[in-house]
Amino acid sequence: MMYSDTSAAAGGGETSGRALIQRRLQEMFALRVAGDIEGMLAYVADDVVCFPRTNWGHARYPYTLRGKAAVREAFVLRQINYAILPSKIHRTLIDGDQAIVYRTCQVQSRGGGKILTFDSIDTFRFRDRLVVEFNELCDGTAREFVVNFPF
Amino acid sequence: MMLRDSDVQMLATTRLLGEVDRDLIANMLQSLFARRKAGDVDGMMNFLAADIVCFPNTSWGHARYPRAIVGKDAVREAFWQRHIKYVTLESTVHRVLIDGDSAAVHRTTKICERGGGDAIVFDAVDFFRFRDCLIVEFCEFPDGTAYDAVINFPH
Repeated sequence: MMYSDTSAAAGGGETSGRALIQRRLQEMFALRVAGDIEGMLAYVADDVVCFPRTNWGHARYPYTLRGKAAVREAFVLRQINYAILPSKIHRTLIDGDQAIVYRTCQVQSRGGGKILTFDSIDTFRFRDRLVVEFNELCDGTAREFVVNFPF
Repeated sequence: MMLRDSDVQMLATTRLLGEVDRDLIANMLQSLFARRKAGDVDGMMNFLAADIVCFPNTSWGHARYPRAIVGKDAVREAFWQRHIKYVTLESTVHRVLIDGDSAAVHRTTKICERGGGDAIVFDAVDFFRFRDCLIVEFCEFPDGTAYDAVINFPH
């Protein structure tokens, strides 16, 4: 299998594919914390698949969201109930058009102000510099937060 | 920016070396999971560095391995004890990412308790770090359904 780094030698200019993905991930996480759903969606393809079906158990998102409009609606709805606080990224692996990020997330319920902390492993797939697949595999403590995700 | 031929050659060689490492890591992971499924704990140990850190401390919640296991001997002992209680029936790999000296694997595992025969199916994401073609760090993040199988892992 080939590495997807385009690098300067291949005429990719100053930004390699890997660096681009890394930067995109950082920007998307920052926009999410800022509550800028529209800004986040600028990095997402029209035919994005969010929370594709997997065997991940216990804390599992209930449905697959297909298309940018459905993702917008769900994330805006979630934004009403929860504020996303900055997450701590522990590991990022990028391999070709895919990335995996292990991080500790914090969300705050807007109603009671309770802060929920959990770990998550996020998987991404890119095409033409846009996210075409996104999933969150959360630890068991996120169950309540995850199973009631709006769709 | 214009590149000299020698720079282009160096980048091509670096990329080629990267591919060799990548194939090596991919093959090692395949062999490691095959050994684990076969219950060949000693065979698994061939892939580990003497100073390996298994299940390093993280903030992963709920289904979480209780302690870090440090050193090959301690890992061998823990996995042997585990093998007395559970047998691995299936392991399906869904995704493998390799980035430099690190790798991540998302897989579904089916294990069976030897006593009662109860089967437990759960997903896990495993992170590996390699040094000199050996695993120096192994971390497993299982989904919440693995709780019972994970919290009593021998150490």
